Amino acid sequence: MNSSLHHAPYIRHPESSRTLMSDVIIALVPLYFMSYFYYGFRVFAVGGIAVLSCLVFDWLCGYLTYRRINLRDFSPIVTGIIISMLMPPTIDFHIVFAASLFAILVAKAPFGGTGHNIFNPAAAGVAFATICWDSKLFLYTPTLQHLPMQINESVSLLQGPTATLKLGGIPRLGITELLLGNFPGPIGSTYTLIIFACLIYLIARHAVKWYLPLSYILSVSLIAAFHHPFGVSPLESISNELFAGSLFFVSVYLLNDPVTTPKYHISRILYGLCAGAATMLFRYFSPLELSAVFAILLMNALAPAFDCFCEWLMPQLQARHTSVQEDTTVQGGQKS
Amino acid sequence: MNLTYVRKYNRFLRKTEGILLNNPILTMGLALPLIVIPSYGLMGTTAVSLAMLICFVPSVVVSSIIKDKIPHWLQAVVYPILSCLLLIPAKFLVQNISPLIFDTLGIYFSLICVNSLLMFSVEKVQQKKPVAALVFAVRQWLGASLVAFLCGMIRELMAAGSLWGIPVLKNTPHFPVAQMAMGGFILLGFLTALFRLIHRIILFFTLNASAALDEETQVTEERGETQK
Amino acid sequence: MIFLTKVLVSFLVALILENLLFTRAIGIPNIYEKLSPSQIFTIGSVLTVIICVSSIPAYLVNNLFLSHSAFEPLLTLSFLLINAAVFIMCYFAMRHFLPKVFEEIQKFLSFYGVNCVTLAPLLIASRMSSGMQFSSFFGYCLGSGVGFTAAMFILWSIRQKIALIHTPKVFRGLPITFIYLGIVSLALFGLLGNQLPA
Repeated sequence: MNSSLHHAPYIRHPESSRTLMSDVIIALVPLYFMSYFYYGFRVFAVGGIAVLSCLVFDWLCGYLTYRRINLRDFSPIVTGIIISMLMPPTIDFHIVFAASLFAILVAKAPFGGTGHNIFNPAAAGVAFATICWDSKLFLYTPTLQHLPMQINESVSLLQGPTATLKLGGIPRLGITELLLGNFPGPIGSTYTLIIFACLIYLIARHAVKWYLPLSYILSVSLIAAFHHPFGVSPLESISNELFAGSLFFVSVYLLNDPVTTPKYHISRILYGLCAGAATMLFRYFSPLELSAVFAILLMNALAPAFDCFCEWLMPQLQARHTSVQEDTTVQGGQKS
Repeated sequence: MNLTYVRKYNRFLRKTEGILLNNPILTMGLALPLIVIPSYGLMGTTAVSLAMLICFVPSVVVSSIIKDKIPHWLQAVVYPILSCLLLIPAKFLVQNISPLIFDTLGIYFSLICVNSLLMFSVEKVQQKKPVAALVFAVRQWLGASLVAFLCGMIRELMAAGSLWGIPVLKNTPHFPVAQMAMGGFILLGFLTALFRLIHRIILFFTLNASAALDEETQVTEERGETQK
Repeated sequence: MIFLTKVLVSFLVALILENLLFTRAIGIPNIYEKLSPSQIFTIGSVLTVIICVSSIPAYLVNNLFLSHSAFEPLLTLSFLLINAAVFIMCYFAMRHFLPKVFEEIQKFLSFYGVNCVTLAPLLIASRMSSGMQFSSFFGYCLGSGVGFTAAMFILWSIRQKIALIHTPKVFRGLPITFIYLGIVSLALFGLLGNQLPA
């Protein structure tokens, strides 16, 4: 044996939790500006409340559990921004506060804080708000108006295209409107073109692996194409399902959370496919419009199982591979 | 090392066996269906604990009398059937007091006879005399129902802002989620953690107090030595 | 064909919408203990077999009791007796025909034999509607058994990751189990909407 000892770490990787999270924040901020253009200053107030409450509660929980408070940890900011993006622009502030509180206090802190959470905190917070205030969470306003801080009777509330889809109707939206998000919807999750640009940025920065959103969108669009309503071409059905709600946003920002996804390539692809199927199942059978977050929560619970399946599968594949190789090079092996 | 206060605390805990020490719900998660769903409010909790007193305690006492006279595989069958027989008078009792409460409980009232707390207690009681078994069963029942009452109170306050149907909190936001299964689970998790935290804090303070006592005695001893 | 569709519909309802553990909180105490997938599969299949076999006499008894309302208080008792008989049959059948599997789960079997999981599907199915047909009754019972196995599998999956992470000391063990049960339950409430299960 001629081996020498070296001290770890052997490889120094430039990526860290901080760079990943700051990349995601950079990719999320443009959505705020588009939203400011459509709805006015109120969206910043909603986002500010969500981000501040997430940060404060995260620090508080860190203090209570004797963890060193890490000011360079950006993940509560990402959680807050995602929660605010999935809310309608006319949302009451206390609902945003309650969603952030649930996200940090129940879905993150008991499991051990950043890097240890099993469920995506933002998904859990939004799901909690959806269950509690389902009547308020799906009322949107027309775009291109400046909302007052206090929502009063002068603001007209109406249902979005996802409600039409839910009832079996067809939300005849033009392709430019779908791409620009120019229809009643949540604060930041309908601007398909910007989200797509952000997705490319995230993939280029290695914050997101390209196969995970692709497999998710693939299974969603396959089911949408087969299950299209009468009188609608499959392509239109796919675009309605993907872009009219917040499904594309979820596939980019919530599905790719590096903590809650499985670790291997094959299991990630399986995870994406199953998450897509579960989302469509939830969308067809649930009385709520925003079903993707529930599917993501359920899949987060199953993510370790995908990893275990992969760990069971890989040695068997390798054994088969090596047995094939051994057959061809039997003599070489025997000589040594 | 002086551990006077820790011993005192431990002695106090041992007196509350089943209620504060080794609570069947907070340490083992037994009788889960009876705690999570029927404790939607104080009324349902009262009905369930009353019925549990009627059918759980006598079956445990009977099991301590019978002991090992029947084979192991039959034990799992006999005691649920016994408590199910006792459930019939309990059912009439609750139905006479308030048919509404009985209707809201639904199947959970019938599930009292097969709960896991019964099987656990039956296994624990095999070596005990009937009187000791009675005390054990009553303690277990008291521990379970106290946690259920606490749960029911918090959930009713959160969901409807009322206690026993009487409105208490009027201007607070209401969370109907608290009355669902999910609210019960999360509340129970936090309650368990809270009790553990309280236990750790008390232990911490008693240890500190004992250490302080230790130092005092040392100081007095040193003084005595110097005086000599 | 209609028979199969009815079985499938009530099977899916019991499997996902009204999952025994997550939406009705009916479980057995050892759900948070360490069990391997093969053990989970064995215990789940034993429970499912017990539920399914006892659903056949339970359906007949249910119809009999519905016509005579005087017997109504005895419904739970009769279901429990059916369950107990099926459990004893199952116990001896396993001891004779599958001695290896029997030794593996003998410790649990008396604990798992007659419990909430085997009794509750029968009671729920008998309460669901008075004019229920056998197909729906059987499908519901099958679905609850499979659903409970699936729920145990989900818990196993989460436990795989809980073993790797560093939870605060106060939350280790039982509290964290309750909390993740609650969050998975929240995920399934997305299908039900804002309504309490009966």
